[in-house]
Amino acid sequence: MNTRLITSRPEKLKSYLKKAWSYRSMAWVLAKRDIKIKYAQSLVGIGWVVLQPLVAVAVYTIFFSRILNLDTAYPYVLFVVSGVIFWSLFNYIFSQGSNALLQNQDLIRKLYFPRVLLPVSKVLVALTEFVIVFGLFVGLLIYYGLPPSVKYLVLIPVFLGTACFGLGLAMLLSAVTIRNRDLHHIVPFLVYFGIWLTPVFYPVTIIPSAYAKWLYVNPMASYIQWFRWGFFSEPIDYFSWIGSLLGLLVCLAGILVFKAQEDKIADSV
Amino acid sequence: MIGDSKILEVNGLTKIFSRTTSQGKKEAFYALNNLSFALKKGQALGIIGKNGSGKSTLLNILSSIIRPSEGEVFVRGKVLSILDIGTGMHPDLSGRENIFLRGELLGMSKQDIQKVYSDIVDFSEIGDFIETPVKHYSSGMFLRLAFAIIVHLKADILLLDEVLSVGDLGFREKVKHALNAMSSETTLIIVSHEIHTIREFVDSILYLKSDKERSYVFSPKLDFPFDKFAADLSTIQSEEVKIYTAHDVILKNQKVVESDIGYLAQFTLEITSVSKEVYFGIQVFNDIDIPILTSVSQELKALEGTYCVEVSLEERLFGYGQYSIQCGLMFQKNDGWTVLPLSTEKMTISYGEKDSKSYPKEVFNGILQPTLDWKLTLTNSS
Repeated sequence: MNTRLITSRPEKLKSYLKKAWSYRSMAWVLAKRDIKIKYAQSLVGIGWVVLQPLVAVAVYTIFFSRILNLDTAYPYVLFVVSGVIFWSLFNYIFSQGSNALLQNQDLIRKLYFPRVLLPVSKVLVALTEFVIVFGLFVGLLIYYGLPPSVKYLVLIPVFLGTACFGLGLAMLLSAVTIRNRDLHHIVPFLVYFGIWLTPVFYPVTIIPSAYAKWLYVNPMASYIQWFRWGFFSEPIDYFSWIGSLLGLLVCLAGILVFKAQEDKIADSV
Repeated sequence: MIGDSKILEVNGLTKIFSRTTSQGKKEAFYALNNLSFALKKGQALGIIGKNGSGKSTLLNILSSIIRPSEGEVFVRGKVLSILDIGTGMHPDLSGRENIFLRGELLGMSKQDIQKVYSDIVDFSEIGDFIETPVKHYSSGMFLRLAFAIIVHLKADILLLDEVLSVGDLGFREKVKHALNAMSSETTLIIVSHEIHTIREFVDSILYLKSDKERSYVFSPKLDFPFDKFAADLSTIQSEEVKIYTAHDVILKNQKVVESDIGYLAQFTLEITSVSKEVYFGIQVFNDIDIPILTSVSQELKALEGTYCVEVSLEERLFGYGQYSIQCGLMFQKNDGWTVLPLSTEKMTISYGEKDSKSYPKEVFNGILQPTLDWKLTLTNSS
C-alpha cells in the first residue's frame, strides 16, 4: 500500500510533475466532461467545431483574396486554412486554459488533483477539435492534388509547439487571474491583437523584408510558417528558430509559475 | 515512519490563516493548533465540533486540498474524500453519464465503475430516469444518485463531510446500512456538527473545541465524556447533568437508555420536603414534532427521601421512522401547572429491527404499529 506524507513543505517540481502524470487520466475525464457538456442537447452537435473555422476561412478568402487581391504562390484557401487551423488551436488552448481554474472552482474546493491538469485538459479538448478540422484540410489537399511528402511530418512538432505555447501562456495567466480576477479580461484583447501579429490571413511577403524577420519572434508566426514550409514549400527565415524556442520557454515558465501558485490556489478560491 | 497497523497519523498539525480584523489589520488566525492523533485500520472516527472549530480545515488538509502550516500527516492507502455530495456532476448530462463522470473524478477506473454500475442504479432507485439529464431530476433523486455512487466506491480511507443528513428517511437508512457494510474494509472519517447522525458509525471521537487555544479531545467513543461537553455540543439536548431544584425536588440523575424491548427512561431524585402533586410525564414526537404518545405517572407519594423513577417504552409500538422522546416533571406552582423538561433522546426504528416474522414495515407504515389481537377464523373450507 502506498504511503503519502502531507507537510507544509512545497513539493519539488519533479515530484509534482510525477504526480501530475500519475493523475493523467483525470485530464481525460475533465476533457470528456467538457466535450460532453458542450454537445449535450445541441442540435448541430459536432458541426459547431467546423462551422467557426469555416466562417473565418470564408470571410478571409472573400475579403483578402477577392477584394484586396492578396497573392500567394498556391491557392489562397490553402494558405488561410493552414493559418486558421493553428490560430484556432492556439486561441482555444489559451482562452479556455487560462479560464480553467475560475471555471472549475467547485472542483478545486472539493476535490484533489494536481491543478495543472485543468489547463492541460483543455489541450485535449482542442486536440479532438483539431483532428476534425484537420480532416477538412486534408480534403482540401486532395482536392487541389498536392502530392504526399515526408515534409508533412512537420505537422507533429508544429502541433506540439502551438499547444505548448498556448498552454504556457494559459498557465502564466491563470496563476495570476485566480487572485486578480479582472486580469482575465485581458485574454480577448491579446487574442484579438495577436492575430494581427501573426501571418494567419496575410502572407509574410507583404511585410518589408527588413521587418519581416522580427515577425518570427512571435512563436505562433514561427509555427504557422514552419507548417507552410512543410506543406507548401514556403521559404522560412532562420529567425523562426528563435520564435519556436521562445514558445517552449514560455511553456516552461508557465509550469514554474503555475506550480509556485498551486498551494495558494485553494486558499484563494 | 508510520507504524504498521496505523493507517493515518497526524502529528502536530497546525493551520494558520490570515484574516482581516474589523480595524482592517491583518492578523494570524489559528484554524488548527498542534493537533495529533492516529487511526488504525478499520477504525471509524467521528469529528465533531461547532461551526468554525476547524473540522473542514482538517478535512481539507487530509484531502490534500490545502497544505498545513506546520506538522505532518502520514496516510497509508487510497483516500477518497467526499467534501460535497455531487461535486463535478453536471445538470446537462444523464444519470448514467454522471455516474461515470463522478466515479472517474473520484479516481475510479471505467472498468471498476462498469462492475458496480447496475448496483448503483438499483441503489439510487432512479429506474428509467437514468438516461434523463439530471437537471430534470427532483432534488431527492439527485441526492439518491449522488449517494449511490459514493457508497459503491472502494477506498482505504473514506472522508465524509456533513453529507449524512440528506435524503428522506428511508433512503438515509439505506445509506447507513451501506456505510456500515463498508466500514469493515474502509476506515471511515465522518465530520458532523450533529453527534446523533454519526454516533452509531464511529468508534472514536475527535472533538475540536472552538476555544482560542484550539484544544481538542481524542478518545474512544465509549470513553468520550459526552455529558461533560453536552452544553457545548448544542445538539446533545439532554443538557449537562446538573442538580435542579424545583418544588423541593432535587433531580440527581437522568438518562434515557436503550433496553431489550425499546427505551428506558430513568431518573433519580431526592425529595427534601413534603410536597404534593408531582408527576412524571413522557412524550414521544415523530419526525415533524407532532406528539404521538403521552403518558403520565401516578402522583409521586412525595415522602422525603431518594426515589428512582423508571418508565419503559416498547419499540414494537412504533412504525418505522425517527422519533424523539421527551421526559418531564410536572408540578403545581402558585401560578398553575409547570412542566420541567428533563431530557430528550432520539429513537430510530429502522428496517429489520422489529420482529422478524412480520412483513417489511416500510411497505405498510403507520405512526403506531402495535401488535393487536387479530382473530383469523376459517369459516368455509373448500
